[in-house]
Amino acid sequence: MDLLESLKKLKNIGPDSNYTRNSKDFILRTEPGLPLLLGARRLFFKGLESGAALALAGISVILILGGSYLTKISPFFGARSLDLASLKAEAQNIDIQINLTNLNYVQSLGKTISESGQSSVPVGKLPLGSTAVDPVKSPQNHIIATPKTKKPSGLSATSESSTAVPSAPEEETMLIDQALQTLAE
Amino acid sequence: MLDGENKLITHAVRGRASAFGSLYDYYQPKIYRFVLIKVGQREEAEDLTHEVFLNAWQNINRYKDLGFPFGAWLYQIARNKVIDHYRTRKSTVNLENVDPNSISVTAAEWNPDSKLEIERLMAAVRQLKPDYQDVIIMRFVEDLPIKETADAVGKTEGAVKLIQHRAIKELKNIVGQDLRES
Repeated sequence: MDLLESLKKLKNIGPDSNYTRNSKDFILRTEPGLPLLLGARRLFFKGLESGAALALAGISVILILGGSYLTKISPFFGARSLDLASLKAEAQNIDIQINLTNLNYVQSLGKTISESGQSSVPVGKLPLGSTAVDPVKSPQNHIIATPKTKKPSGLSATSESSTAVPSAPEEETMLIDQALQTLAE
Repeated sequence: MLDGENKLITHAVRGRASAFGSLYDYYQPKIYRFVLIKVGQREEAEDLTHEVFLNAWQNINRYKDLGFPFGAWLYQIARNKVIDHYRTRKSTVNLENVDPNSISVTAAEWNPDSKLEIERLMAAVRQLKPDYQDVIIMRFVEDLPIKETADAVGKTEGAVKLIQHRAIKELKNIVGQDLRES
């Protein structure tokens, strides 16, 4: 084999025609290198674009950070539900209100019993959570107007609060005793 | 060199795609052969050839300042692309393991035996030093003049002549060894 003749045969090697067509089309569709002045102008505008993008990103970060800071320091912007102190105060207020409501109910019950006289104690009208006792079976038991045993949720602290319990329940107890004796007779 | 090449180059430098397209049509097979013989794989050769011309088109405005033929400039880009390719990928070629199907040699007049012979020759060329490969391909495959070859490889004409002589001698040794082993 003549080496030089074999090397000349390598000139018959060629690329695939589809590849050639696709490659040429792709290349010619791209932008060529521009002369210096036009290239500098393009570079300037590209610099402006990237600068604007950076500035926008920086402003967004500042807004996000500033917004989170404002929610912490300003009550106007902060969420009310997250303020623990106000929540506690609200909860305490609720307790007081319940006490008052319960007190009023108990007082009205006392009046009802005293006015009814020999009528049976309206068990169904006993305040919430009170122990209902059958007056016939256990006449000695006092029907307690204020709940002492079973404590319903939300009312436990209020019902046993010494400041909220008036002297009226004792009078009611006595009145009820009288009513029970009357019934027994 | 292409007829009216200087005019085409002038238009291409101004950004005319059709002028560069004509230059592409003339030089693309040469650059493809050059790259294919050096890397040995069709797909890689296609990718690298594409990159050579894309690079040339995107830097066409710099060509006038370089002061040597357009073909030599393309070969310089191709040499650099192949060097970068070898840096990222280490390839060793064993003549015995040359797979005829891995190299696409499109020539209608070749029979399968000739095709295999040519591919073994290409593998032998790849065993030479890079400078020897370049000179062998440019001088004996593409028939480039010594001056244009010297511009493309960045050496003097005298150096190219010396390299050419040594490269042929070494290639004969490699091919002779291959024949003896087979």
